[in-house]
Amino acid sequence: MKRHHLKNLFIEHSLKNVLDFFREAVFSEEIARSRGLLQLLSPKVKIIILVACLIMTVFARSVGFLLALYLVTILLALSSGINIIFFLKRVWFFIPIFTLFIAIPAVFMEGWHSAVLFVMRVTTCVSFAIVFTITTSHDRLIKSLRSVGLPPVFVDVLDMTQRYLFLFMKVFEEMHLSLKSRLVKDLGPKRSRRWIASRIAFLFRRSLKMSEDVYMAMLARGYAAKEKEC
Amino acid sequence: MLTDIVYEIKGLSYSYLGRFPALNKIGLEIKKGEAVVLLGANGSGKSTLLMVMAGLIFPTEGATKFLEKDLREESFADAAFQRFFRSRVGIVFQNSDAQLFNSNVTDELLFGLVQLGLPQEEVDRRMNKYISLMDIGHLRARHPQYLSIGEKKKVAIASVLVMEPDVLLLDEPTAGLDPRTCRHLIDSINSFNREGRTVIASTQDIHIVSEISKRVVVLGEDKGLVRTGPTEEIMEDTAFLEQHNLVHVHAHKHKDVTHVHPHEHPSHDHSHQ
Repeated sequence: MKRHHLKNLFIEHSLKNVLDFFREAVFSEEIARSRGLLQLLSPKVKIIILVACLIMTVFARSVGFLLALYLVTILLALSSGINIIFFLKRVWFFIPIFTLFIAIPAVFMEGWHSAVLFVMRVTTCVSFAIVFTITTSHDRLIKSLRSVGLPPVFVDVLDMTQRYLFLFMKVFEEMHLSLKSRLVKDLGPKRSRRWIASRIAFLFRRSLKMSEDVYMAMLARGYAAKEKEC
Repeated sequence: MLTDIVYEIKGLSYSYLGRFPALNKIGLEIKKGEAVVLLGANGSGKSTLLMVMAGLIFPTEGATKFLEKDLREESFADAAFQRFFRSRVGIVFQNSDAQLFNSNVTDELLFGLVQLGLPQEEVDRRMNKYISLMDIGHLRARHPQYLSIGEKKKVAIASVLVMEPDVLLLDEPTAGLDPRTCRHLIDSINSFNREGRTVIASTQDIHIVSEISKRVVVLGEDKGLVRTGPTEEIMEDTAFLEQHNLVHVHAHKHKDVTHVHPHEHPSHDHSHQ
């Protein structure tokens, strides 16, 4: 019984930590408002530099050069007042998502060198993307993306994704608290997993309904497929 | 406008997925400048009727005309018709989160204005007017996720009012709002109606019906139109309202006397029998 309780506490804390981390990592604008090197640059300039850095990273063929580029991202983070632990955690949170399914087969098929090169490339690209976006407020970033000629629909979708991700995270958190408020004994690992799966399905259905409603709200205010810039 | 009739609805039925009826043979006319409330219990089809009137969903049976023009899905393929309709009809959704899809309040208000392609001077005039009307100046740079429910509702209404539509559709405009915000919204809706614009609102909030409408349309639990008439006449017919699940009887106590009212929260100076 005690083991079950500890397991549930672990699930609960993990959920809370993931939500808190995501909230801080994606939605916090504290760093963008603070003083630092990258905060001094205009968002438009930052986007151009970021694209150049990404191209350079993608075409790099030596691990040494990639390591040097990765060090540059760390220096940029330090000179922009970003807490280095937070920065590393944030970068490495995304790395498994992007690399796990590709890097492991690569080890067997093409050898360690290719796999390391691949992981380094992804890590450096993610680090560049994060260091440049985290030092820019969401609003200014969206406006700059529009001004550098990206298709408005693409920018709108990006903007809305951030907006509704936050909303659904809040819904998920509330569902979890509501469950917690009515629990008189531990759910047990099996029922906990079932509950999480059912909530994922629920959020998926809800996000579909929300996307229909948002589209209707857009239509009602005159949105046509060939959108004009805001 | 050539006609005084804004909406002409005949034999309108709608069902979701072709299986779940939401509206049942509705017949209704709404005239220019009217202030109408759609009243009905949960699931009576008020929101669906508003969606049809907003040209966002289309009836399975029957016809809807807006200023003598048929509201059909195909009509919206014509860009001129789309502009004609969308610039004249605005809808405020019940769920403000669906309506606030921009990254800050200013962009939210600008969205409709940009679609209309108005000159900058006119954009500025309208922005100032409706930001001041809804008292949301302090929220201009705020992201929707950091707004309270009341603030979201104010911004959602402003984002529609700023397009200055001839017809304003509101789905449960006061649901979940505190008394002060509710009062503010009622005043804004009324001032919009006084400018000669048509207001059609769905609500279950009996308290606001007399304040925002001259006519009431009651939808029944069978999703059909049960009755339409002057607000005063319908609101005084408590037996009818009770029958259609629009008021409830409740008991309360004054000093030592406990008594029941066939209505919600009457004023405290009522007499005891």
